[in-house]
Amino acid sequence: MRKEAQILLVEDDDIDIMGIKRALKSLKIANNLHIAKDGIQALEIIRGDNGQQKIQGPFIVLLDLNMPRMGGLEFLDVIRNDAQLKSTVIFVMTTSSDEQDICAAYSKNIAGYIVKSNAEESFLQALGLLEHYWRGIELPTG
Amino acid sequence: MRFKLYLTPIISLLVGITCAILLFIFVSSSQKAEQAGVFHRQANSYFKTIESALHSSRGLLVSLKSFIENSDNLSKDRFDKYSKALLKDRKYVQAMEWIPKVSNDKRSFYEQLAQSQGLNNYQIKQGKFGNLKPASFRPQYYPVYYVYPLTGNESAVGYDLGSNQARLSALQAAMDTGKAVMTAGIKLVQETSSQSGVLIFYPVFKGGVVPAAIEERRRKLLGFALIVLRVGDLIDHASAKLPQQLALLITDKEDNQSLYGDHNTKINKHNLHFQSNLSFAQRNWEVSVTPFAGEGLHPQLSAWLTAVGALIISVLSSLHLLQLNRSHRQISLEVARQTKALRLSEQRFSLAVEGSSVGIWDWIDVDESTEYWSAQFYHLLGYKNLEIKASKQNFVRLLHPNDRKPAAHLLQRHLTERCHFEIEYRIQHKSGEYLWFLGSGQAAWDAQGKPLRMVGSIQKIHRRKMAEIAINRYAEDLQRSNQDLEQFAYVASHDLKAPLRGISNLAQWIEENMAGKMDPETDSYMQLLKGGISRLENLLAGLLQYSRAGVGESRTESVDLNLLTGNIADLLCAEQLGFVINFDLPCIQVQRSLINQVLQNLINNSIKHHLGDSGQIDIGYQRLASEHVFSVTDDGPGIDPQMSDKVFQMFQTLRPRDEVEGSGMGLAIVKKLIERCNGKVWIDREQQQGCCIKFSLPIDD
Repeated sequence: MRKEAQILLVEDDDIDIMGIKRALKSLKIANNLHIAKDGIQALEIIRGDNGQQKIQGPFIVLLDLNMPRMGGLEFLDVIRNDAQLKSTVIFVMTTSSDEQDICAAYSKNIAGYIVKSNAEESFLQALGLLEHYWRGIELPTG
Repeated sequence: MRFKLYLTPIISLLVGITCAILLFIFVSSSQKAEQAGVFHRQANSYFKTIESALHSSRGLLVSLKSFIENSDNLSKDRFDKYSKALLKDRKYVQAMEWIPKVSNDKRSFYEQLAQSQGLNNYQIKQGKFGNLKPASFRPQYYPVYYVYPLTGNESAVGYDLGSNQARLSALQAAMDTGKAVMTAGIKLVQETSSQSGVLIFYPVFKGGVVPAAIEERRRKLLGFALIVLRVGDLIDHASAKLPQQLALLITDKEDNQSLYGDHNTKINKHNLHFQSNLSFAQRNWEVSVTPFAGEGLHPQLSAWLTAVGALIISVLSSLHLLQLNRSHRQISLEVARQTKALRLSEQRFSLAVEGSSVGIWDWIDVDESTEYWSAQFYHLLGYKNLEIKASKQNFVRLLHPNDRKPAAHLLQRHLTERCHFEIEYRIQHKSGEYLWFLGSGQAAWDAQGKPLRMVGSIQKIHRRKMAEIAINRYAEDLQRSNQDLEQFAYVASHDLKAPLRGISNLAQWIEENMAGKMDPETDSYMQLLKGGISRLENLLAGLLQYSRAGVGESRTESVDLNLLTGNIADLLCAEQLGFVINFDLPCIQVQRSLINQVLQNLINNSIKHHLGDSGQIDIGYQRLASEHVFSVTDDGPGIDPQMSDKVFQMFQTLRPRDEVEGSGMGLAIVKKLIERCNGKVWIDREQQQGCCIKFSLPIDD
């Protein structure tokens, strides 16, 4: 089932990208992974703008908050105000249990959050949640 | 003073008494004049009444005479009939008589004629009444012939009037003048009372005409008509309808004989008296009228009442005047006392103004610019007294341009809304420098709320104000600096965290990738690297925690400290670590997160720094008047007194990093939290063993 879903990782820090990759690898998640360095690039990938290849099929977004050009919260604003993208499943990645960020993100209806320093465990939890989401939107199973 | 008090009342009283007397005299004299007027009118009407009574009697007589003249062979019957008709009921007429002149030769004819008409034994007689005798010889007789009414007059019948000298002379006078003649008062033959009577004769001549010459009159005389009047009855009858309070006296002037009235009646000489002559039928009567004794001119009750009334009024007004004088005197004393008090008050004020360090201004009329400035006012601004004009205009000119608008605004609000007038402003000193002053003032308003006047002061506060401005600047600087520091701490710890985490991740991944392939030396380096990363993470976490300590909510709530402390003990696994925490705490009003963080840090410190395997921690609480005081006491190694100041600084730990895992931020965070809400934290040095940290928080009700 996980084959079908693609993952859009929005993150500018190379080490953090590496950490997520390591976590996915160790969790044996081999879904197609797209990487955007900031919110603007992420939107281009989602919409297929600016020569970017448009992401095909269902996907989830793993979103960092602190990024140049367009940060995670701004990205969330854009998504939530776009009728087509409104229901996109987004997980916010945080460096700590930084309350302000979490609260701000939650107010924009995100699916959950992943703490980077403990990526594997919180990622597993997130995927547990994710399964419900996929079921909710009637993705093919098997 | 005393004399003055009574002078005007006494004068008033004297004037009042004089007025009362004058009033009495005036009233009584006008009463007397009125009484005299009334008396004279009454007396005069008495006189007229008597006169007219006599005239009407003569009228009777004239009628009788005419009747006789026109009657030939007058019979007694006709005489009686006519007389009766004339008399009617005139009681004062004693009789009406016919007196013929009878010559001696006709004497017996007349006597027989009379006898033939029913007058039995008629004889011409003379002598004393009651004892009449036949008349002696005389050439002529004047006998009473016909008499009406006969009854009561019988004794007069036949009496020869010529035999009596008084009557005869009256007869002769009447005959000679041809007019009516009245006799003097005589005692009437018929009279039973004491009153006088008078006879009026009227001569009857042949042919009915009075001859011109006396000789002819004597010759042609036929006789006399006679009317006999009772004077008393006449007067009483005539005056019956007049007031009876007057005494009437009538005197015949020729023989001074009293005809009417009691001549013994007392006549008050200065009293009223009326006297007049009545000439009638050739006789003169003196009629005099006086009030009866006791009547007449006396001051009457009304005059007395007027006088007494005036007297009472004047006494009362004098008393009132006395009272007024007294109260006036009291008022004068009071005015003098208040004047003195006012002078003292003014003196006090001027002394205060002169001695004061504040400058006084008095805006005497708020509609005008002119003011009063005290000498000190000028002095404060570097001027000599009165060197410049004291006016609102000048004051505004001296004000710092930036302070004019606020001052004008506040003044306006004071005058209209009566809000407190106190303002700090700059006023230009004579040297040109602007100095700070505290200005205050107070207006006075009239009943309609219109401001009338305003008085106030200026007080030099330049030095204080400059210090205040400097302090404010320092405080602002300090606050900015603190904010910068906190911001720095936050940013530093936050931003340092991301690369550190990268390093930590990389170290972990290297270790994972090289698992089992590292030689022991490399492995030990790896452990040291991880230890350094971990310590750095702790430091950064502590720094972040410190920078954010106390930020946010500062609302107090009711907190059950026993419950809170129990939760902390559970969180720190105190029991599992062998620690007993003793507490018996109340429920107080406090910031929950603050007290939680502080107690957690302190208990954590006690556990972390305790050397033994087990220990005891006592949490104490004491409520003082204005603050809560807490103590956290342990039985650990304690703190070296020399180090007790250092422990509250950041990153301070007293023991090697390797032995105890600590950021060195615990007590620094506690200190910051407590001081943020005006509390204090200190180490209790009296504690012999272990460590006792105390902190206080202000009581917030």
